[in-house]
Amino acid sequence: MNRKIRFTGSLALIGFSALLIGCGGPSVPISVKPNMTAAKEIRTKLASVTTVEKEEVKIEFGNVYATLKGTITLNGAPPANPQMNITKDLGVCKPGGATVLNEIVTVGNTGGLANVLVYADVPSEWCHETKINAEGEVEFDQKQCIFLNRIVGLQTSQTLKILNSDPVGHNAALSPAKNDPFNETIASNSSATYDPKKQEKSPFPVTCSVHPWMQSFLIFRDNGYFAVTKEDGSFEIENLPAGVPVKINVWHEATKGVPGKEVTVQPADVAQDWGRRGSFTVNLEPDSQAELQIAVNSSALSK
Amino acid sequence: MQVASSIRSISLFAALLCTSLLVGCGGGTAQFSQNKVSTRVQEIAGGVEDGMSRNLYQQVTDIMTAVFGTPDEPTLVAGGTEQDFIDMDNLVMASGPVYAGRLSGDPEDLRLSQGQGLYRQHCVHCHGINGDGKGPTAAFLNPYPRDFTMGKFKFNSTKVGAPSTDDDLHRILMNGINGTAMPSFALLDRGEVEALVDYVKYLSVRGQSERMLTFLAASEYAGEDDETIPIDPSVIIGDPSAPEDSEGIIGIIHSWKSAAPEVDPSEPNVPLVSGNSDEWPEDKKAELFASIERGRKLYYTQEANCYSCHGNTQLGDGNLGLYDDWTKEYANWAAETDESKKEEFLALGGLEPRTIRPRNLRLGQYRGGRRPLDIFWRIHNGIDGSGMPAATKLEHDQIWDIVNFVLWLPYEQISHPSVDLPTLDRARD
Repeated sequence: MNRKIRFTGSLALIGFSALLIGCGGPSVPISVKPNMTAAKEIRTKLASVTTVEKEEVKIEFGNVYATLKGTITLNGAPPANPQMNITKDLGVCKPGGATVLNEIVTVGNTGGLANVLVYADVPSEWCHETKINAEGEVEFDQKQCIFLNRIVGLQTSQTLKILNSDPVGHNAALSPAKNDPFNETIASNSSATYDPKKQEKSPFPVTCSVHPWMQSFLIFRDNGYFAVTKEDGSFEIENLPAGVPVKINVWHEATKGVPGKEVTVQPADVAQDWGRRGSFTVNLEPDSQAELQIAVNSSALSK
Repeated sequence: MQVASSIRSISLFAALLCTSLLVGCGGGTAQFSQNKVSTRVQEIAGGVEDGMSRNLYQQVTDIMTAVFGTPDEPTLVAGGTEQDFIDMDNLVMASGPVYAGRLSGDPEDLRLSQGQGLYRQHCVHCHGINGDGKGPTAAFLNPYPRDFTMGKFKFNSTKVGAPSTDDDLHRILMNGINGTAMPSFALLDRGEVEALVDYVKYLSVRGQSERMLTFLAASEYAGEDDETIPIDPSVIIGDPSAPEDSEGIIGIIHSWKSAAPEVDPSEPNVPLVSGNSDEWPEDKKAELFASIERGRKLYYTQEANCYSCHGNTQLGDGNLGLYDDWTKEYANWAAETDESKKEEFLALGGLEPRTIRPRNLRLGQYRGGRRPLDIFWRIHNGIDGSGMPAATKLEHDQIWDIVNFVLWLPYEQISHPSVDLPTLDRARD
């Protein structure tokens, strides 16, 4: 009898909790219904042709520059890189049947975190002459069915040259947010070129549709204020506008914008407002060299 | 007696409750719903893993309603750039509940003033009210119905990444898509097909705009103090005086307006395969076979790289682990190993990820049309969203040779049985 009651009770409990949890899976995004009154008001606003001129606060810039450099290290044991699921052209892509890892996180001997993109948002009128209108081609190569660089930045004035150093054919599929997409075949030991037109706000993926495990990232910028950390985690951006606020973005492919709560920065006052999306503002002393020590929690990269 | 009546009233109550559950709470008017899969994707991309605030979801929905109206009363607010993009009369004609305009009065008068429900009569069961390819039948179809909301279509005359021209959409509606559940709508009035073309464009731009707004909300305003998207026409709608550089909805509409055929191939210098070889004119046979053999050779080169996916025997078995862009939006399933991630997206309405198959070229089934020009476009421009790259490095003459090879393949025997088969013992007597 007692057992029966307990059984019924637990059945009821299960039923009740099922009701509480509901049938709906995840809690985000929340379902909302359109509010017709609000929509009508918004429509009136959006249909008005007269755009209110935004009051722009003019910041005086004294044509002075400074350098921002630093080292990005990993705090904690690096997360294990996953194995790549190589299913095609094994002779080339998986030589000798070896296991190939997807090296998302690369940590150097000194604990430095490589392949972190650091880039600054600088208005064109503040740019130093050495940081604009770079010319020529930036090479982007693939070998053994892996893109040789995980993240590459180039200026919109430059041309991207996509090479294929493999004995098999590849194709490079670019899916940028602002620029034209691209997807062309590239025979072995040949190349294709791509001319970026507009600045991209954040990096976008480049993939190969023949070999679906291949993925890397590119970014196009209107100026040269970007750097990718080396094996020791170091980066350096010269000739940044000084005496004015400049937004710096920190990006890694495992976490995209590196959130502020996952980093420890020294000196702390340089990057106080490090936000959720991996950006902070610096106001550099003219002709100085600001140096940052940034430690990223390894948990941020293991998502 | 009393017990019986109380049982009766309980069962009446239960019946009422059931009915109300069945009917649901949602009033009579049709509404577009949020694209939850893409919203989730934009949230993750925008760095708000925990989701945006309710206020932001509400605001995106309200801005969408302000610009695009409802399925019964579609609108398009785009600073005047919508005027030579979509015919509003067409939009009205395709919208609304089925037959709404035909039930009373003179149908000619009602045609332009009230929805006729063309979309809901012919399309909604597969493509869904939002045009997201998630109608009630979607899960039972292979391939899944097209999701318009990325503004991406496979069978275009335009280059990869560019939207379709009106002619491209019109052709698909008239011919259907061979080998899929998409039928031909050639029996509709011409005006009705055109109305549906405009409605498909409307749903596409709507879907693209929703992505843009959600990304804006997730990447700019979520997590900020007031969590509000400012209702600024220059950000949401864009700049009507310079549509080519405009952000916002005007920029999206401009990309549609400027879509044009990528190439207008000159007349081929070779005759083209039509039917089996016994139907070819005698004097063209040698030339046709020469072209087919050149095409075959190109098929196996790395410049064209056809064999890599379509296989060494053209059976479409060269690369079986690929996913299309509509599936890849919510994870690169070829590389993704996290099953819980899949469950999350399925619960949000995503369809079970399914690999796509490179076309079996020996079936003689051409989804994007069987005219030689259609096949030329597929090779020259690639197929958007499918991974099929553009072979822009090939000369037009070379592409025509591959076209001939492809058109010939269904008639070619895959193997040639030996003529000298040994006679079986049994048959010898």
